[in-house]
Amino acid sequence: MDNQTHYSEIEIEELIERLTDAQIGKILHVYRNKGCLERAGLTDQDVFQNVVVQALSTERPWGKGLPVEAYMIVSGKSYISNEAEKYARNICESQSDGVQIESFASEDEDYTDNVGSESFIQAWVEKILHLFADDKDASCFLEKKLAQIKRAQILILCEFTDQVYRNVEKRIKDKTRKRFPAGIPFSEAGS
Amino acid sequence: MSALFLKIMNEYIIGSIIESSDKEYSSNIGHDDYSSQEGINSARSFIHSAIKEKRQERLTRTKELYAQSRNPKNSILDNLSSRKTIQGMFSQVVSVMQDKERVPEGLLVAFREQGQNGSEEDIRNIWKSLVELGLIDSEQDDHS
Repeated sequence: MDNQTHYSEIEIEELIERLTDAQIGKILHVYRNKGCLERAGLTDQDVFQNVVVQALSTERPWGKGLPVEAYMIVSGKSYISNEAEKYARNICESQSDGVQIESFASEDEDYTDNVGSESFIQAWVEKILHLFADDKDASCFLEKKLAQIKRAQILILCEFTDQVYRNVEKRIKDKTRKRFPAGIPFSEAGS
Repeated sequence: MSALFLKIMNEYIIGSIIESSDKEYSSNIGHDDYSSQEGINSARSFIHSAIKEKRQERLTRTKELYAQSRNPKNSILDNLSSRKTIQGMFSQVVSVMQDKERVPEGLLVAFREQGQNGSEEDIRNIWKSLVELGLIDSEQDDHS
């Protein structure tokens, strides 16, 4: 591995050793919200340990300049996706009668495509819209997002400047996280 | 369409977790659905043991390399092998391997396994081992 463009074994040890409690907490939190347990049958600790081992062995290249949190989150997401595919295959094979396949186990970027239950989706959409019922800008933003309208059109339809768009988006992100820190529980969609 | 909206919202939540300051996240540790101090300690403890193990491996490797470099027999053999061509060493190795009376069967099997990849390094190592065992004359000419 090229030490000019990638961190060396010793540099990686130092970077991982310097992780703060808050950084570790955030990384574990993201793994859980990515559905490590529901999609891949792995705990947040399983994913964390795998990512640390891979990083230390320099198996997964770590480009210089990429922050430790970003590296660990991207690596963890990739690991969860790969394991989710195997997990889904195992579930398929073990279900000889071919009844229900776990709705949450599929490709990472498409995992919400299989949420299945319309009532689940509707209930969650309403919860989120309700959370911003008193915020005119956020409501406009969310309604347009729901209708899959692109940013450029949202700017016009909601009469936002770029700065307002970013502020509204940030407000939505933070308020939704504070209200639903565990994320959308897609694993409950089929139940 | 609504499923895509929920996916975006889920990514927003993840984005907000990542973007939150260390101070803010720390104040939430242990609260519902945030990471627990116990989980963080467990992850940190894994980091310490994994790094300790790595450093131990590296130290052992370095000690071995140092010991090898201090072994005069190795440096003499390295020096001798560097003067030979791979083809010459290979012919000598093959010649010894074919002489079943001189080389015990177990040793032959071990060398065959060692040389499975057939790389130059494998040939050089087998040649050096056979010189050490006295089965190859290191001074013998490549073409003799």
